[in-house]
Amino acid sequence: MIAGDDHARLHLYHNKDFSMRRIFLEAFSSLLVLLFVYAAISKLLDYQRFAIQIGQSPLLNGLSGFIGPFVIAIELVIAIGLSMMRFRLLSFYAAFSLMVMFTTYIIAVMKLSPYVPCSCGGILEKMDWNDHLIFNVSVSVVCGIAIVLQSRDFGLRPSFKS
Amino acid sequence: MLRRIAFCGVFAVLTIAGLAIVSKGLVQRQGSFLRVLPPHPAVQTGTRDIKYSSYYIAGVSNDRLYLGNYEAPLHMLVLNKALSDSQHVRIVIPEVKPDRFWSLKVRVDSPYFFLGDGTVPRVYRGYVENWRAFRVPYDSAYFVDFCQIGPASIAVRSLSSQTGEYELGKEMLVERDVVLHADILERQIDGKFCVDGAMDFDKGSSRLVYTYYYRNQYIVMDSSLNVIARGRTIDTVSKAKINVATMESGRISTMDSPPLLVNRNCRVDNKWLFINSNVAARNESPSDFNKVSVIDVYSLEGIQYEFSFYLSHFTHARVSDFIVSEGKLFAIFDHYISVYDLQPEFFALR
Repeated sequence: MIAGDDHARLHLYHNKDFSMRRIFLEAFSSLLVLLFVYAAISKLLDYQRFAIQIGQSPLLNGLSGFIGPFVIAIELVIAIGLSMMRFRLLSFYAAFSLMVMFTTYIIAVMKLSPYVPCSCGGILEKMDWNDHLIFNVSVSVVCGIAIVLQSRDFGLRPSFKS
Repeated sequence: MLRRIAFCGVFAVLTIAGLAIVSKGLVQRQGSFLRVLPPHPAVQTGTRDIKYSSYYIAGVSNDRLYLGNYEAPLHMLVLNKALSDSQHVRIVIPEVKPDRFWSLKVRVDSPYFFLGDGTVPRVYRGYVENWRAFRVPYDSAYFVDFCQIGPASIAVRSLSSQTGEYELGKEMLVERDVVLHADILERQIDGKFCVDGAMDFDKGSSRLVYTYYYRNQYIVMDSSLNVIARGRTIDTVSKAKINVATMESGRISTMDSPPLLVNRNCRVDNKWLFINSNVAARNESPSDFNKVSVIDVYSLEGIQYEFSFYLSHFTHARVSDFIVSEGKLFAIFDHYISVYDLQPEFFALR
């Protein structure tokens, strides 16, 4: 899918077609980059606290050695991928999966444990759990929409490869 | 493409679900000991809706039950022992702004009530008749928790300035006398979390009991805090299963993994010690155990375990606080309070 559409994508990149879909995709992509970079950096800046919150989580403390750096790395990789047209669709898929994982984690922890530490970083931590859940579900849904729109965007233009 | 999205979503959910299942198996809240469960030592005789979940039990007198409130520290709810009548009371501290306090707790020891905030520190005392509190002459000791011992003295749990660990002590309120005993609480890991616990005093037998939250021991003391005995609770957690981490170069210490809470709360009444335990026994099924709050009963004469009984959860809420007085047990579940009759044949003094 990726290799075959290269010419189409390069064509798109220079195309000055400012459709609503294109505007939405660029805007949402930028917002996602902002969200992930903010989350990753704020975790990194207060890393000690983040590591302890992972340890306090009843679900995650088995993986506590590796999941901290892993989540930060994934968030940054997705942010980088989103900013490159070549990897944007793949990054939307990855972002969608990650957001669904975060959402499921919130639901699992809310149901299973009396003490629920939040390890999202920055102002995301200041949200109460219901708001956090709504936020996560919304971002996941919009990621799903972005996948559909981005795929259509790429698929719409016929390939100019001869 | 939609199929790919669905696949990603399902994969994400299953990953977390798998994690949840695996980590559930790692938490052991069941021990290899046995509980003695005779039929119905406690029979529920009444319930009342007290509207807020933020109440705790401040004390009990001959005919009244006194509830304090974590969210409104100067507000008290006074009930009769049948839970049929209630009265809302506001404590008045003349000439003091209530927002100067960090953590104000009320303990009632009829005819007095005590109001204490160990972080300022301030201790006030007043009469239950009129709920006006006046500052006691001497309240210089900082404490984290306190318990009234007599009309003019309190037992406190404080942080030692030398070791930075918790110690129990006694503070006199009308003369200048504070004594901290470093040898009562025994450090296992860090001296703070590992010795955390609850204390209660029984006026009739003049016994102060401190029960550790994270290990299977309780300490029986007299009113001068001399250790009379160290008893073992029936579970098998002799070393606290907690991990403590420090942040900001030692300024903050916190739990590094979910701790195994062994004992939730304890109350003393007339040579009987009641402990709300968090650990299931070998002869209890974990799923049933999660639907009840278990009270283990120990006799303070023999310093030994006698038997246990259950308090069934009310609207899926466990017991948040309880007290025992004159053959009745009062327990708070969320925003309900229930009263139980303790059957005399089980609680006869030997």
